[in-house]
Amino acid sequence: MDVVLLMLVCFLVFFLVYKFYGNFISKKIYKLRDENTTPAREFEDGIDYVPTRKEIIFGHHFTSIAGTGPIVGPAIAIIWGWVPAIIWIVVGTLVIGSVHDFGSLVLSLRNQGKSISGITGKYINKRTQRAFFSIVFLELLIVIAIFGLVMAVIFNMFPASVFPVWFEIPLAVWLGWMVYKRKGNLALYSIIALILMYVTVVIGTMIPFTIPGVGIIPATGIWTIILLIYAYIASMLPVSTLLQPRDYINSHELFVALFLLFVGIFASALGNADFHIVAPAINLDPSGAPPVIPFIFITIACGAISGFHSLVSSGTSAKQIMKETDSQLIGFGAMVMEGVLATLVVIAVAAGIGIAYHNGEGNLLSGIPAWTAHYSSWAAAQGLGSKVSAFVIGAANIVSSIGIPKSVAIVIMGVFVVSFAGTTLDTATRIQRYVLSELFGDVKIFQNRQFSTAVAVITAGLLAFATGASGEGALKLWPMFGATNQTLAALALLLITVWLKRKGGIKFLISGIPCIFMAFITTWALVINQINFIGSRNIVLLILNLIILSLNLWIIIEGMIVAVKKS
Amino acid sequence: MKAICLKICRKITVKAKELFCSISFFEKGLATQVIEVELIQLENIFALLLFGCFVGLPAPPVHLTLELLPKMEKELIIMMNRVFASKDPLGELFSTLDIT
Repeated sequence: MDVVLLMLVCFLVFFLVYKFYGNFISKKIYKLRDENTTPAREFEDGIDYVPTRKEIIFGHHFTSIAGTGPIVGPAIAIIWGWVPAIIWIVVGTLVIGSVHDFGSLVLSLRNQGKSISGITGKYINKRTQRAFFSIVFLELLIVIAIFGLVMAVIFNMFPASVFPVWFEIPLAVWLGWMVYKRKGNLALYSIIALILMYVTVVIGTMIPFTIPGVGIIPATGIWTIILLIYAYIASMLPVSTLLQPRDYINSHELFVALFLLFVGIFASALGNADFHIVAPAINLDPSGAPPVIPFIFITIACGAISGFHSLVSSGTSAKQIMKETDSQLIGFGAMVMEGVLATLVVIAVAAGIGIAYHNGEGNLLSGIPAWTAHYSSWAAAQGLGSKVSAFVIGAANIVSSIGIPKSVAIVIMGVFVVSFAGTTLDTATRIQRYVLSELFGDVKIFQNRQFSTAVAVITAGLLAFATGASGEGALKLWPMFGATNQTLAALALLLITVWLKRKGGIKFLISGIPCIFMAFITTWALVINQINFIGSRNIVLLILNLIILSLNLWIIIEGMIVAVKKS
Repeated sequence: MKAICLKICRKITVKAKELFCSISFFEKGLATQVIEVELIQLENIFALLLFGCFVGLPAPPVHLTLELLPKMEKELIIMMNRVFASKDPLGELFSTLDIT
């Protein structure tokens, strides 16, 4: 029952802080009023600016920000113990992440629904606006590489997930054709697609698919190449063909997975004596791992604070909000839900894994030995693979308590993680193509779709292989993804702080203190990384880390300039 | 007592209907949000081809431009808003395409 207690306490804290701190920020800091006209009402045109009910915007916003990020981060960070992970998820989500997302949304609302990168030029300077672009470019580069590796690792460790994930492609294409071309009934074909999806999950358990390594390239490396080719092809297709219907199926998988986990935790607590927390409360010095401070703060990125969310908040959501007070549910509330997802992931890897785990030698482990098999060291049992598989198996153990066969539950959870990563691969490639054409606008060849896409994919592939294209190497990339993400978040928090400072008083502290914290922690982690990469002489990672560190220092200097400047 | 129960049942029914409508709208929005954005961009391109001369594009008006002009007041306003928005599309890209 310790697990249920932990979950309920975390959820209660999330709810209370959302209610009280969220209301405080809404009424006293941003002074949100229903009487104020939002961009959706001021510029209403039925096309770009469409007043929409808050529940619908919340659903879209949450499905946009939820994905593989809040799963992989906590699954890695549990190595330092469940207490630090839970504390950072809860405190980070409520005090930093929600403030960041909420602030970005309100800032956009008060600036005609403009994107936060555009508003940066107005409140700070044009230089910093360019920083946004540069950080986004680097982050997308790392995202394509790391998410490709995450998928490759899961395919390698769970061959049963290969068939359902790849079958999702023709299934999505069929759904798109039936709904968009044949004007079929959306509800009916959605239900059919979801049922077929889960039927393929069962079939996948009967036909596991493995591929061997080729020469010095490990199996994960071969999968990475295949997935990058997929990313190239998928990002060139019209969105109605694959991306839209696939994203639609994924959103339902998210709600199903959340529901199964939530119910499964109660079922496991009531019906399984082995279901209790087996991860150590605090493990400050695991073998081979970087120091817990500052790395826990950048390892758990999306589950506590993510710079990507500032762009999502200041996108379509800001153009659809009917009343200003609705933004609390959307900005603050959606980030709290992300924290809920991250909390469930921690429970899966801190407790669920302890129910049962079959190791490679056919032994059945449970309790602390099951946990240790994945987390005995930073690079234990294939590095990233062991951390992500701990979530898949832990979550499957929990879900199997409600009657779903364990083998099917493993595939459900594996497909859930991979599906989101697959969509991210596709969308990140599309956006990177656009970013490249903007950054190199003067070079004509970058206006060519095929060339830009190839550059986006090949550069990511080179980065993936610079780490060895294996699970162990991927663990070097995840903290870099986190650091870049948090750099973007620090920039967004700086912008919110500058905007609040102009209003007078000490309101700016609610974002100013988190901004200083994120900038400091990220710089610290990047400096440690730089020293390590110099020692290991990994030129690619060394250069990339140096660029991210430079951008981070740029943000800090801009912040200091703004702080000393009179308004 | 009976009246109170009826009132509560009516409230629950109304709330359930609202929830079902919301879910239905949400599902439809989820199923089409990316395509809608693509459609909007295609319409934007068409509008720019015909009316780009009014927002700074060096394109001469064609016969169709002049014929449609009286009916295009709202579209011109939307197009001008989009010209400003197009300078910074990162927010729209990230919120439309499920990046995380």
